Amino acid sequence: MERPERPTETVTETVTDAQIVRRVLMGEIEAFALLVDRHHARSLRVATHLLGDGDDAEDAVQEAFVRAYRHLGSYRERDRFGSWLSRIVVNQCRSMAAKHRRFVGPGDSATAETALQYDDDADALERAARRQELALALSKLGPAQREALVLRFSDELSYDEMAHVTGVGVSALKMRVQRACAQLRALLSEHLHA
Amino acid sequence: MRESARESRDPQLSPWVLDTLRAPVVSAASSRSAIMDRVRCESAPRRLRAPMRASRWSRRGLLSPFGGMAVLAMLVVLVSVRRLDQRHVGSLIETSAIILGDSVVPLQDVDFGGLRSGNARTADVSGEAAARRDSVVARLGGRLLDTLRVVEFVLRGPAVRSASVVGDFNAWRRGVTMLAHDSGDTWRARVLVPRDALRFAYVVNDAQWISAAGLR
Repeated sequence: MERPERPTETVTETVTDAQIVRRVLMGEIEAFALLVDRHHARSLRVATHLLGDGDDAEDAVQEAFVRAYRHLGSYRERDRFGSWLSRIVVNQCRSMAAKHRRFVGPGDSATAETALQYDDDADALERAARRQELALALSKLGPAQREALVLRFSDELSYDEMAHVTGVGVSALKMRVQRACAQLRALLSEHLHA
Repeated sequence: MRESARESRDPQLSPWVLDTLRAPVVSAASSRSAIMDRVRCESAPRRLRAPMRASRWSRRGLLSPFGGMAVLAMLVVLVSVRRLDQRHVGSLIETSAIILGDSVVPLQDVDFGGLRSGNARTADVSGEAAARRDSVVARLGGRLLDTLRVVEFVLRGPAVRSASVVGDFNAWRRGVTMLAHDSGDTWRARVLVPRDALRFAYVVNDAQWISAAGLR
């Protein structure tokens, strides 16, 4: 299912991703910065939840954008650029996880630590604690289940888009999301009781 | 709408979990500029143009009437060349059928329901014909004999990959009586042929029929 391009907050809000890609392909390299501005935060959020490590996520997103630029010629305008980029980001995270032989280590709390560096009020501390708690629970999910859950609830993709990104069937993805949610609820309640 | 309704049945997570999952992640200040720095070092991307299949050309209307006629003309030329080639091969082929003599075989080997040669087995004997044969054989004490002619079919010619002979004796079925490659350009087969099976032809390379004078 096609979704309209997401609006942006700048002057370039009327320019679609496909038009920017066309400009880049015509030689206007600096136009690629617009795509980076639009999709960097979302890609970084997904990569952080998938890898559980802020530095690794930064590296994965950077590499994904460079690869996207390198293969921009193979991007087809009938596809949504966001989905196409998500696929690259997810593949990059998979490669990085395979390289490091881990997705999230139980002791990796860089996300929370990063947040703690910037926020110092009580609410922020609570948010950081919850983030850490969620990262710990996510680390105990299997890679496939975590990927499905993150794409569904963090990236807010439809199941069709998730299928396009992951290469897995829609019904299998629904099952994965269902199981991941049940397991996550159990892990979080366990943690609270503990 | 149906899709969104179905997706609304997703398992529920706590609001704080959803908020945390959707909360922006703080990134390093230089991360975006680092990406652009690396991008500037890359060579400019180019739009890839993969070759399209004919069906897509046609669907997009890019296969013009002129193009279609050109493709059709090429096909006609190819077919004509192939036929000329076959005719050429046919003109170079020599055939002969030599009657070597007679052979006597027991009646049980002869199909009463249809013609059948000793080497070239044709259609299976039907139930009725088998019953008729058994009754005749029983009446004559199994002593009835039949005389068949031994015929040697010979074919000589270049560019022959396979050759078979078809005729009344094998119900004109291709591939039943194959000629064996003898030596050089010669193909040969010896077949027991009933006396009343006079007409035959050769099939070369599974495609080309070469008629021959009948047996006398």
